[in-house]
Amino acid sequence: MKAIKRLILAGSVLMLLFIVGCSKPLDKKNLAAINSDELWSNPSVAEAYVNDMYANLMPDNFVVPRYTEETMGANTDYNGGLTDYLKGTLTADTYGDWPYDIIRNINIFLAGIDNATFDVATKNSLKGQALFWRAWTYFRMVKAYGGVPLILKPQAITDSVFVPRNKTTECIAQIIKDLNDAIPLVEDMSSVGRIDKCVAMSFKGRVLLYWASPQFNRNNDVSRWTDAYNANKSALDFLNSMGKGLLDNYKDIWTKKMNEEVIMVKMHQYPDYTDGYSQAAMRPLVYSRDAVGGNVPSLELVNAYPMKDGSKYDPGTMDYRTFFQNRDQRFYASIAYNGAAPYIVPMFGNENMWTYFYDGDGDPSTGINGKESRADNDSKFGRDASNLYSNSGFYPAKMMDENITWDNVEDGQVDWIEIRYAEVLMNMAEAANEIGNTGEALSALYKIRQRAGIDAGLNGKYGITASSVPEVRQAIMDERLVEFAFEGLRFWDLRRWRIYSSTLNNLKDHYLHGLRIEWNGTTASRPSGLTDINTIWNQFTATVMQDYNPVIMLDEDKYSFFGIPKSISDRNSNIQQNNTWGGNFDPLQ
Amino acid sequence: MKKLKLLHRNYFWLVKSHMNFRKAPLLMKMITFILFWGLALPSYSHTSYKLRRYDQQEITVSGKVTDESTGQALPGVNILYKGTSTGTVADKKGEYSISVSERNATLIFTFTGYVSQEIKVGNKTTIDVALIVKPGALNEVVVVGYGTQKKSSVTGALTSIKAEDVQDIPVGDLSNALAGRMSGVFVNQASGVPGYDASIRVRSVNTWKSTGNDPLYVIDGIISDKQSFDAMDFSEVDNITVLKDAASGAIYGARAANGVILVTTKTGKLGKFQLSYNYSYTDDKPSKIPQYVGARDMVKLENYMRTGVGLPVAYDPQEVAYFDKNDPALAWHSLTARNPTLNRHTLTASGGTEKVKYFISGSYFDQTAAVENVDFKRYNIRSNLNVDFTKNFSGFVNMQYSQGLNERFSYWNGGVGFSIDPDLGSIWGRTLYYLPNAKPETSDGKFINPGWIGNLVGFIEQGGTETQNQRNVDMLIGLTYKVPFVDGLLLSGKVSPTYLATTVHQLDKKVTIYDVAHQGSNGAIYTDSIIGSQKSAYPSKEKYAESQEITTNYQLDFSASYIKKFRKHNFDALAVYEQSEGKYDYFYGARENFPLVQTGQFWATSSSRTDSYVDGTQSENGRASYLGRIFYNYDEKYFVNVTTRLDGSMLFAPGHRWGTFPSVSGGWIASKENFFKVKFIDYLKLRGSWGLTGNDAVGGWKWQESYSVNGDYLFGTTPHPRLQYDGIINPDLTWEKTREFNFGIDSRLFKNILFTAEYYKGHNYDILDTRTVSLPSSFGGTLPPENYGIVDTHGYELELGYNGNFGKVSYGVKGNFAYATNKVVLQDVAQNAQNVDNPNGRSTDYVSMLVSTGIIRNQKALDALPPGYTIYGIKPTLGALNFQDVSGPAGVPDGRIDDYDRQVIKGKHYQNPYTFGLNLNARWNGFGANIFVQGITGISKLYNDGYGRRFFDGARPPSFWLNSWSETNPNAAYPKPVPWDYTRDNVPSTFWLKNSSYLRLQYVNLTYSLPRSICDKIKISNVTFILSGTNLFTITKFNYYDPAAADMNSYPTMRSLTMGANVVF
Repeated sequence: MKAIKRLILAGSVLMLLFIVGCSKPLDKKNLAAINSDELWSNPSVAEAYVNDMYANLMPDNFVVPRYTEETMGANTDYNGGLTDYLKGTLTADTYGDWPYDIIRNINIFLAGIDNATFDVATKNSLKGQALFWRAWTYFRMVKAYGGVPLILKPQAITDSVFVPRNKTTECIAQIIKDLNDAIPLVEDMSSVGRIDKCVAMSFKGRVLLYWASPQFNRNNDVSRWTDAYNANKSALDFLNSMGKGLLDNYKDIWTKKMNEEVIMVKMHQYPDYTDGYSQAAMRPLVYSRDAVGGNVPSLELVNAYPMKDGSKYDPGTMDYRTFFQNRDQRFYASIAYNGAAPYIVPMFGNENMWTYFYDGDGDPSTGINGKESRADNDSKFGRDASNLYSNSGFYPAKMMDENITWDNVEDGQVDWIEIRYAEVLMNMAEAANEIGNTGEALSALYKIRQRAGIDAGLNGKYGITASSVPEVRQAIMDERLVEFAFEGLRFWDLRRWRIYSSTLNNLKDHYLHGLRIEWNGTTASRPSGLTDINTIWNQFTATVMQDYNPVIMLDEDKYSFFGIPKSISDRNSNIQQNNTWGGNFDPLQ
Repeated sequence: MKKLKLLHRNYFWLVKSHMNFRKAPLLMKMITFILFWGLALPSYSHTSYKLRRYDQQEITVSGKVTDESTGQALPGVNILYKGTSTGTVADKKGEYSISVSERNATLIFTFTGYVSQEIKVGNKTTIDVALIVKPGALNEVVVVGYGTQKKSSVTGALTSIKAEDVQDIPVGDLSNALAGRMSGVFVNQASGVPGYDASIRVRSVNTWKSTGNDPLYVIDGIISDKQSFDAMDFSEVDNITVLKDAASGAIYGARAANGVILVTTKTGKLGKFQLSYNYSYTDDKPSKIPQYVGARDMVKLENYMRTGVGLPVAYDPQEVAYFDKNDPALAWHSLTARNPTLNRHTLTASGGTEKVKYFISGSYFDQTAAVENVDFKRYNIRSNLNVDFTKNFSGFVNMQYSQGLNERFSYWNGGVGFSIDPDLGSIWGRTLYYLPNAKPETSDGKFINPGWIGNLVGFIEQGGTETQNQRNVDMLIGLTYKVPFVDGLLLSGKVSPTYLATTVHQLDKKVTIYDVAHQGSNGAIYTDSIIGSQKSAYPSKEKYAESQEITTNYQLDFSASYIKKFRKHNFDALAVYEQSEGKYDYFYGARENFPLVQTGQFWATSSSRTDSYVDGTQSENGRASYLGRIFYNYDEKYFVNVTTRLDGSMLFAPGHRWGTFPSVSGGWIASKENFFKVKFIDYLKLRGSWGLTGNDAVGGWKWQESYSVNGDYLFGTTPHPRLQYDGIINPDLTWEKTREFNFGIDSRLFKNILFTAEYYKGHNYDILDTRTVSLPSSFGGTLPPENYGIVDTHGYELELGYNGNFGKVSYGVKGNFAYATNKVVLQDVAQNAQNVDNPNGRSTDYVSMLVSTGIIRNQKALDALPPGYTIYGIKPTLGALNFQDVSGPAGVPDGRIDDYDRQVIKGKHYQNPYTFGLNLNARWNGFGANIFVQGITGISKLYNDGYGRRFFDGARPPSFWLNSWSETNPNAAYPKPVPWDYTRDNVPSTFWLKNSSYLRLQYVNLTYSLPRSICDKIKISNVTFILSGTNLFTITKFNYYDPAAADMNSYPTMRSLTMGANVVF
């Protein structure tokens, strides 16, 4: 017995020792990661690394913040509805965009890709995409601040890392160099939204257009305009050769995926890929699920749309009750107004858009105290929460997913088109005008207007009366506002033309405006469903409403180049502040 | 050997009373011991030993000796006739009988661990004595790392409590039970949410980091974690010891820098089967409900605020009149608020023979929250078994199972997760202010649609549930072999597999809400007439999700210990090899939409592939350690302890994995010296220690280059994976280290006063952190953690206790006090940083903010401001807060208030530098009272509320806004209410920095034990009734909300009243 016990004891001790001897407790594997060798030997892994740049850098934003006159007091009655840019409270800390962590990731890739062991074609394509994204990222900073530190390789801690700002000219030169390097490397045309030659050439045109614009080009150096013209012209030529062009119907640009107008794009898809884009804020709150006030068109924007004959809408002489009559196609594709045709049927039903006020309780003595349901969340139960949601009386119709339902307003499938053919065309036109090719500029404008459904007119000028360089320049500026409304270009255009302050200061009484439409008939007879607005417009009154707070603009120089935020200069005393913000750095050099 | 001695210490007294045991030769002692061992063990039920009597004349005194606190009989108590060598010993019923020769004879009752009592015989023939447990008895044995030690031999700084000390306190977890009881141990209970556990910190915070500051938890010698610690029920716990200084902690090496908390569970004791049952019921109430204005004042304030900035009013006269008389929104709180209750049942059984000892316990704990549909339940089962297989071979098996079940509504829980939100998504606070006009329900109980926010009551009641179920199985199996041919050599091995699984079931449902007609031109008045209904916007998708997190781990220990006594030299040496490995597994699955019925089962959800998604991760870890220790003392007077531990961790690169953590400490019992003749000092010990401990709280794999897949990007219709660089690596990464000196004094004065003092000075270096600001932002990317930081700490701790008698009343007072502070010596600082942003030379919790110059009360003050003066870009207005302009980009005042104007606020702290606790207890016959007061001082808090110190626009504002600036109230205490972006009144400034020191009556605990006579009649050993009040009141200047709470809307701590009973069969 005893012997057996001892045997068991000895056996169990040996077994424990065996367990210990066999296991190596410190020998473990990182189960969540890919080994670094894979990056330079496996092309799929390298491609995945480049895909991360897309996710980090490709714009995908539908909602334009309140930076410009495109949108009106969207959702609040406080000046909180206005951004710091429009209420005079901009400081050097307001604009912060310093994405050097992304640049580092790109630099890591560019430093190693030449030694990768996979095939040259893949290497080139990936390298070209990475070069493009580096140019893209630097331009994002340069257009905001002027010159920034140019870091072109992944720094080691032991390097001299306290890099001062490079001159703006050096930065632009590097951006152009990266783009020139990228253009021959990337594929001609991608059908899935990769950076291709179309994108790189078009973007180069955009960069040089900015560089030629007054923001950077105070002395109007014509050679810069020439460069811009050449870049945009050759981009256009290439786009044409690839079958790109203006799509026939303006509205379809955002409904037909990857149509011929699309150049640079962030694709969205739902539900089999959870990458839908939230459109919640761009509709009446009751249909939006918690989000309000996105892209609410201002009366200023509404008025900017030309008439069908190409002439301007003149609020001074025209009746606001009929403002929706005889406008161009872009107006109907972009603005949801009182009586507008159904535009999101699955959600709103097959009814016109009704945003009018009426006598909610049918008691004339209490006045107009109701609101039609589309106008406001709570109105259908008789509540006038007039201080919420759209104060302009308009909602955006542009870029809306027509098939969206209430349950998936966050999951719009509309692609965000960052660059489209029309922009390249307009960029070319602008540069052409500045170097004296006015005819070429005008013919581009005609194309844009023709597609917008504007009548050519007897003189074939689509309502354009401009002929001198300044006149054509103004015509181009006006056209860009409506053509690219809510596409994120306006804020940067106003800055590069150095007319941001003046444009917004020229608003009537320094306010943005909307329309309050009131039904004058009886409560019972108020319009609904598909009633044609053209038959009843005279039973409404239209009153211009101003935003709750005025726009207060600072000096244009404060906008041309933003201040470097304290958080950046704190970490590097070699970073000089811009001279317009009290420092010594001249962003014009 | 040591253990046996302890268990049978009672029997030594039998011998000692008639022979001088101590002076007997060793051999004699051994023989006596073995003889006695043989006599005593087989028959525990030996009758009282009537020892030799010198004389049989006169008086026979008899009586019974009991434990004063439990009322239980104390067998083996030594009773001595003072001045003679006559004595006796109480029998197993605690009864004794002794003859004395004269009336003025005195009997001395002595018993190990109890205060001796001397009683004059007088005319009595029956003397019943209740002995009092010695307070913090110096000869008690304390648990230290990897073993036990006589308290008198301890040379480091440690503090401990016994389970009895906390068993009547009605809290769910051990953390809360420790609050304020031990000097240098800080327990912060920021929330009373059921199942949420207070955080524990030991001594000063020794880093600026907010993570990796937890002490190390060791349960029955197995390195564990806070989760397992909190999962225990305190009926399972025998004692808790906290190793505070580095020398005590160094035996745990690489993870002991933040202190070590050692938990020892109960084991069976030699004796008959004993069963005890405890039940308690607690009624809770929020200790403090933040004060908000009523509807009448809300309407006035809101309208005043809006007209003040030129906006139309929010309430028209009809509405103002309505809210003057009605406050319908109060129902948001009253409909969801509940008075929480706690129910706790504990059943324990223990006993043992000389071969087998057992302790078995089971407990059930159920706590509801102050919001309906939130419930926490916990079940614990433990079985601890000790077996002597042979003379030299023994073993033990501990098994425990615990289950914690959190059930709550799913609204705003932020998806499926494992962290218990201490705040229930702020919902408790929100019901007080969020929707000030709307009523939650129509008069027939239908949920009203209050707008896009949705109906909180609806979500709480019908919005689905989230159930978190945490199951923990721990096993501990150990074998000990007393090597027969080497006296004092003990070999042992133990293995502890543990399994922790957390499962979350989440059911998200939409709620049907009803639109009602409104009145008033702003629609502020909600009527009862329903005009439509809809499904709530939240949750965006109805879904059912399950997630599972499983951690498996084992720890293996082999150890050899050797105890040797050589004349007056005592050695106790230990060597241990320890290793552990673990694996973590996480899996998540969800399916959306319910085509048939809405129930928390996958079959009820849509089977479409597009409606489902899964996710998961895995990781592994491993450690290995060698450690050794020598305790040495000379004549129990001079003590030296030396330990060292070699720790290996896979968190670091090969070559940097092994760290050595030594410590050395010494002690001197001065009072044992012959020359020590201070009369009032009965005992005096001086201690000093030095040790090195570590902290490896850093994510793994920072030393190995890697890339990881991070989501995807859509090209065309196909998502393509994205690969992310995991960041710059640091192959040199290694432990963070703390070296610390500790000096301590233990003493007993005037017989009954116990005094302990500690002073420590710590140096925490190689602090592992990522340098972010000392490199320019253009460097890009995140640096890996580096070993670079330095923080110095120091502090002191005092404990003072007194125990005494006043007639039949015995009482005790125990106070503790701690001061802790630190100073950053080296921390990352931006090259061009302002002085105010430089943490170096300052404590980790230094306060920096704008200095408020108060409200701009009149036009004169406004006009006095320089032209172009702005506060964060905004022009100052009447009634707004103004601040000191001390700097600008050029380093001089620039007429602009911005970040450049922040200043260091000297003498202010966010963490408590001073803490104290005071415990009073008294006993009389069966009655007992225990009072505990806790306080912290020297601490400040930045007031915060749901709208970040702004006026609660559109919500119910806090009451203090009634005293806000207006032209008619220019001397008001608070600024003018304005919409949120009209001023920058809300930025952190001294205006909102408030003293949050407090003194809290933590509890009053009353007990009553039934007298012996009644217990005997009902054949029950003991019955005790408990009545206890917790968190009864707080004295503080901070009167916005509970000063311990994170902010105004945090779920509050509770004020509790508990009733309970404890029955021992």
